[in-house]
Amino acid sequence: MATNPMQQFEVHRIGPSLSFKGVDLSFTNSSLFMLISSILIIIFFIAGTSRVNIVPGKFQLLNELVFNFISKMINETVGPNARPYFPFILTIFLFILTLNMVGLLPYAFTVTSQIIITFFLAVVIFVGVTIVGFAKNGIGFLKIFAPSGVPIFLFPIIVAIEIISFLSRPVSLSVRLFANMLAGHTMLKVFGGFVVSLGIVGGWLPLSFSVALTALEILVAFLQAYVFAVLSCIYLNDALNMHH
Amino acid sequence: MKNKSVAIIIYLLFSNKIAFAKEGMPQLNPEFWLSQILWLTIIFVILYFLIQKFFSPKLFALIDSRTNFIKSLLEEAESCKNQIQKLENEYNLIISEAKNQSKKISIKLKNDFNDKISLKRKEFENILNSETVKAEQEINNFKKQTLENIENIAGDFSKELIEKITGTAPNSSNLNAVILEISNKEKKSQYV
Repeated sequence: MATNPMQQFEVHRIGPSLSFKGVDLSFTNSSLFMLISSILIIIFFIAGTSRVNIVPGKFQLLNELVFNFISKMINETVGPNARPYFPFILTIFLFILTLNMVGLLPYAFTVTSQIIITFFLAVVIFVGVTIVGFAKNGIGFLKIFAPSGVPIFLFPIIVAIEIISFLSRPVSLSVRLFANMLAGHTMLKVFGGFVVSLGIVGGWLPLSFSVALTALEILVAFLQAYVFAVLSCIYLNDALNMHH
Repeated sequence: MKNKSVAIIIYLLFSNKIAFAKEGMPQLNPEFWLSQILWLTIIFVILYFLIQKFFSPKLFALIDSRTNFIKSLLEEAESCKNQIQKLENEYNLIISEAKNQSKKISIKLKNDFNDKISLKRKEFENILNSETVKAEQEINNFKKQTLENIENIAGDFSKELIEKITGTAPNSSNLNAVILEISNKEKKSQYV
């Protein structure tokens, strides 16, 4: 009865095959859950902003809560000059959070457990931050690799470390989210398998573990979205304020 | 030739991953990587556009308007507070002025009352003095009169006493002369 716990991460085509110059661009289950998550976010915003009042209703309050949370986070990590980047960070946070949460539903697909998705998002942030850094500071952005006050004989080593650290940002950012989602969902699947295989007599223990793990996964889902958004803000801060 | 070598490299790169994916991790199967990237880009860009163009400005405007509303209410409350403070100061000033005025009036009334009392006392003292003088005069007159009557009473008493002792009535004129002489002597001794 027990199935492969990695089977849940398989991507398969939904609907007709779509290809361009031999590259498969078909709509998949991954795309479907991205779409569902986006629609949920849009519904969340429409419900919150359709009838705005000075004294907020339930949905407006939730909208404002998320809005203020992200706004405070950006102000604390980057400062007030990051307001133009607010919609991007808000989109990133809500998108990842919704993908993580939707992935916890039974029979749902966890988009953020796909390394290509997290890596692509991390690369977009990395490239975007680098462009912003060069646009704001010009060639002076390269100072990020040369911290001040370093002894001259250590300078080449430090610069090399800084470059490696900078280039590994998209990897660490993407692998962190991917690995957390992968591990969490695999564990849930394994414990779920135990519940089924041990039956009604012995399945209570893994079931209780499953309940506890689900609670933990909800926390991890939120935490990983937050960490992704905070790290994006920190990278943006390096580009905008050049503290190095 | 060049295309062939590229194809071989791609095959070598992906063949490992495909094998690995088949063994355990479907995420490493590159079959739908480009499709996922494409749909992620489309969906994310649309979502970002909607948030950036519609939802974010609406919420920013709402939060700003609420902040302004709260600010205006706070300013109004502050002005009301100042007005209340001003009115309270005016009220305190009026109360202190009224207190001072009432104090002044009370002192003035007290002084007037004291003056009137002292005036009345003087008048009463004057009346009392004049009445005392009159009474003293009356007492003296009465004393004088009484002394004069005493001689007659003494004469009559002495006459009756002598008559009872001797059995004969004495001469009234001689008796009166003796009593007058004794009385004069007494008066003289009293006034000397």
